[in-house]
Amino acid sequence: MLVYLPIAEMAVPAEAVLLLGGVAGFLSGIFGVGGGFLATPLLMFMGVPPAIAVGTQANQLVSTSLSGVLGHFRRGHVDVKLAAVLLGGSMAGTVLGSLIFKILLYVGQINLVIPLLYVVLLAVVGLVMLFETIGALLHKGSASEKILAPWHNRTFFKSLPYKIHFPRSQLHISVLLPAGIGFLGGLIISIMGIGGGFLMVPLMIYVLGMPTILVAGTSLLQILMTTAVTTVIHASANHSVDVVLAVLMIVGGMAGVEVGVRLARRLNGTYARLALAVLLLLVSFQIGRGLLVEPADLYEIAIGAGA
Amino acid sequence: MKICDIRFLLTIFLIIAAFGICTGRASAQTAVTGRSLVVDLAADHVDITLGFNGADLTLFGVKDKPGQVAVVIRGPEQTTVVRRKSKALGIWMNTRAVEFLNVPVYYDFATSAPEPDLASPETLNKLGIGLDALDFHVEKNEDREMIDSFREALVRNRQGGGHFPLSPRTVKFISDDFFRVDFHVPADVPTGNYLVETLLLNEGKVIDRRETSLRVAQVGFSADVYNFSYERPFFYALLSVGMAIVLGAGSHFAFRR
Repeated sequence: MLVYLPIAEMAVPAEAVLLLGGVAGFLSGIFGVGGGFLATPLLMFMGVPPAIAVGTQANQLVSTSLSGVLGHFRRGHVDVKLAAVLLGGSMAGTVLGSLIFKILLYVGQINLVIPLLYVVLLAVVGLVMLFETIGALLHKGSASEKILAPWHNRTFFKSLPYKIHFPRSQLHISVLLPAGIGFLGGLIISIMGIGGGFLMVPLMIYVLGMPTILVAGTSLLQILMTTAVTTVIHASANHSVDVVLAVLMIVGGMAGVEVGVRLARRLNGTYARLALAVLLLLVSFQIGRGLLVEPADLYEIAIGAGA
Repeated sequence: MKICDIRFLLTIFLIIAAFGICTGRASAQTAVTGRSLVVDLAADHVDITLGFNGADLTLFGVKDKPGQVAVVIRGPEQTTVVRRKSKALGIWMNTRAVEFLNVPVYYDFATSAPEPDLASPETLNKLGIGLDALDFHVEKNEDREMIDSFREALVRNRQGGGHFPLSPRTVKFISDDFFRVDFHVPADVPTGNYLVETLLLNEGKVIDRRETSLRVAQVGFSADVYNFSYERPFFYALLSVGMAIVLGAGSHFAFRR
């Protein structure tokens, strides 16, 4: 069944969008990542303009991260103070990211830069995660902890000024670290239309040295706030949030999350991370191939002034 | 006598069309005298609703002089940028671009005879009949060869999306003088005012021409959403976020994990 998207001004098959939302939700339920790294490129592949794919994805993430963060709140697994600092950083990142997005759109390189960012980010995070999980499987966790955990003990991170105390996470670190991670997250949300959880979660564990149990809920709270603000910016400044598309994605996502969560209970955490690492690398490879192989049509067109 | 009969027939047809095809207005121009060409669209608007899946447009017409008929439909003009990829630093990226200033977002045409039988290529170009007649303006003076290849790519791209025709449609004659033309607009047809021009040609000269307009617009819920997002962008933004919050919280409390 085709559904006409009032803001994108195009028709899309509703089943495909529901399925897409479902797959993103499934990934979110099983791995705790937003699934945007898969959904946003696929929306663009379906012909949804990049700006609308990114803006609408931000809107969908509000819903996904809220339902996730509520669960973590109930169990008390959220460091609100740290999330607030992350949020401060990500607000700055969002503003800069929106500006970069507009410039890229204007110079006509959006279809190069976004895939390129995907390739690099997914490959780096996928590879790190792959080595970490393989190490954990071979040495029963000890080796990977030896390699990665002391990251936050590096003198550079320790020497940074403006130290504050985060009682919930039992950390005494420079405010610049979480703010910087938040800044990176904000940039990613506004340019790539993904929550960036897959990048922020490892950074929070290895750079901040946060207790693992608090990481997911805290990053979700930050993603919730940032995507809410990003949605308002995208919708009011760029008219690039399609509410009909967002509802379809959210409804599909709700079903997908349920399936993912149920499966996750029966899955060993290390194997789950291994599967996620492989998936990230596959998506990275697939997008990268598109940049390296000669395209079937060398030309692309953009309609409208300033396009 | 014969023409009166046909006009009567046309009136009946238009009434049927008005009831059968659309619920909107369909004004028959049959009462006008002194014209050798009379046309009307079965529906003078295309309504884009939430379930919109493209639309068929039908034009009826009657002529009382011998000659060939050509119908041209064109959507509003937009600046269109064509970019070409080439290999740089090992990856395929956009390196060259040509900006065409006046490209109709939709163009289609129908003829009652093969184009060479209608008029000379020069006349057809002047009348805007056929893809070759589309004269796109370029602001910067790039070299001619490059513009031609970019123009070709633009036409090919628009043809692929069903916004430009691959070949002309045919004007079907129901009787000697009474004809109909069917166009189809795809589901992602851009909104705006479309012009439909019907020409009666004889021995390469225009005998008569009629112009009708067609409004393509979102209606109902889709239009409400679109208008709301442009007239009250901030409240639309809050509504979008609010909707996501309600659904997100709802799914949390519904499944309670």
